Amino acid sequence: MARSNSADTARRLISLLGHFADEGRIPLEVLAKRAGVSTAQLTDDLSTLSVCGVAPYFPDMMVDVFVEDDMVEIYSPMPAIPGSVRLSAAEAEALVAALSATGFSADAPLTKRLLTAASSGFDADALAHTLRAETTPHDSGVFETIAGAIASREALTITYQRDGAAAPGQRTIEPHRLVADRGAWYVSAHCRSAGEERTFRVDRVRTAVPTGEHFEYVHTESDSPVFTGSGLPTARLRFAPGEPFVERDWPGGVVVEIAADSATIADVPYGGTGWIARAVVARLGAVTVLEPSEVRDAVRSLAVERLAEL
Amino acid sequence: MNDAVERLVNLALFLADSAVPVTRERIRAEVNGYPEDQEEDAFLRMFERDKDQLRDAGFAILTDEDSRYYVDRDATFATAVDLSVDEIVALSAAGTALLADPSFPFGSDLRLALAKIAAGTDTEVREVAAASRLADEDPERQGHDVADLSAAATACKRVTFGYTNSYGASAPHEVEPYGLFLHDGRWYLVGRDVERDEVRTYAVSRMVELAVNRAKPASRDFERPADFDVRGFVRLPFQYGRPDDEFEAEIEIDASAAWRIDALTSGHGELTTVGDGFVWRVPGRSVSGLLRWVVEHEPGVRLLGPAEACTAFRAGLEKVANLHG
Repeated sequence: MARSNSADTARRLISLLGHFADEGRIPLEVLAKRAGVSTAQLTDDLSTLSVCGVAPYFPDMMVDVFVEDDMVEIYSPMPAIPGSVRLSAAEAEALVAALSATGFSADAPLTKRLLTAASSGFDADALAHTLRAETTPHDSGVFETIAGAIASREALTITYQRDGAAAPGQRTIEPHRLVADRGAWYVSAHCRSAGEERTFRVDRVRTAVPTGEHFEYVHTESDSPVFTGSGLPTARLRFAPGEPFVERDWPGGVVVEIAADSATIADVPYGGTGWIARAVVARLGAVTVLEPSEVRDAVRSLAVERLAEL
Repeated sequence: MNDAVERLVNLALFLADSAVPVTRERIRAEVNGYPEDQEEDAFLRMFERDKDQLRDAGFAILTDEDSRYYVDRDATFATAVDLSVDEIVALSAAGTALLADPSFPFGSDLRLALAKIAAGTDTEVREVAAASRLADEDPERQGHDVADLSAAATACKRVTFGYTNSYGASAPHEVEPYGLFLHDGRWYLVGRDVERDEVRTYAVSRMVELAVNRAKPASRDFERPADFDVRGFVRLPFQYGRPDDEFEAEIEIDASAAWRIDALTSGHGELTTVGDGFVWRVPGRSVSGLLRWVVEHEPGVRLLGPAEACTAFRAGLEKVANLHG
């Protein structure tokens, strides 16, 4: 089912045809990024495209596209091509899967509008029955607002339902990056209210309102796409014999010892005691906090609190 | 390779430019790239392949009653999609994150889709910093395998793989792939195990040596049941276990948690409105999984039943309090 390179190149060029429907100029770098290739590769592709056309292949029937000074110049409209080619069934499926993984359902206005560009070969109903790529549902409007604020470096006032809190609280954040990790989206941000970097689950952001204030932030490519726990304090936990330590349940955690009774001792990073206390209580005695005392106290308080509610 | 690319693009432009349907002979004569001295059989194979590749790219190439070819322009060319700035940046975030995520299996097609859509949007926005790790265990292999499984499911081709189940038992499987879903950082395949004649769910990360039946690629190995819906196989964490252990859980969801009712229930079970909140009755198979789920989703969520789960919950919380006293 692998396609040949020529077919891949042809599909790539066809995906770009809509850009050449009218005269104009487009930065080579912008177009290369959209095509997912280097500027050198795109220059080569466009060189190939420029010798294409329709019979009788007179100059005015050729594709009039050239690269000059890092700009793609379209000197005359593309012959026979009025605009973008519709999304093939596979492309539409990929788009729906991506939107679904980003929190936009098949019924979301954005999804519906984008699918007006799909070919008739795409069957949205059949796809819904055979492929599901959803992450934890969140308000797509909130997601759009956060993405917009990241793009424009604009602070947001958010109403946030903190993990374990009975009621949401309000805070102002400078959002830096959106991260999808194992089924949920997060926004990493400088929290002005806390005065430090924090990560917020997007599905717990109930409202997000731009403040109109802009901030400076330089994104670095070295930023890890996932949580590492780097720089955070760690709690030492004991996993009773038979209770497995699974790293994906304790992000950034490492096993430091297997005890004589087969219990596993692990160090697990934590940002606040709320999350780790909840994770320990949820194991109902199979995991014990050895240290520090602040986490032990948080675990005990949570267990006692829950007992009182029974 | 450039000759093949030129021929494909020339064919696309020729068909799009033709005001009337055209014969295969005229295409061969007028489209640059078809060798003049080529045997007829070789030309026919090349032409069929070219049409398939253009159709894969989105061209609606049809034939009339006289076997002449034409492009349905309305079915081939889209009008520009009108998007708001917020929608463009959301789409940009999705693209930035998922195109760089090896566990997203459809990156190549997504890139082509976004390139086509971008041609119709004049608004330039600053790039949105975003990253993704949809699946965390060997994400590259999961992404690659899901791409193959998805293609096999679409083409209705059987697959084989070795599989180690959650009890540690390994065995070879031949499966008719019906559908795929992503859940909690893992991709899963749902399909009929041919030897066992059962529809089963497999974690893609537990598969080894996945192979798709390449014989007779144009013919289907099986038909997917008409009523198949992959959504019916996506379970809550406490719904995994032995069928014999099944029970009905009863959970109170109060008004403070009502805003996240969809996230909590994921469409499972039955909700009854009680006052400002709900009572949720949902089947489960793992009591320990249920208790863990309740703790992880509090506050606003309270276990009402079954009785043995409530008893185990109290005992468990007392044990935690004693261990940390």
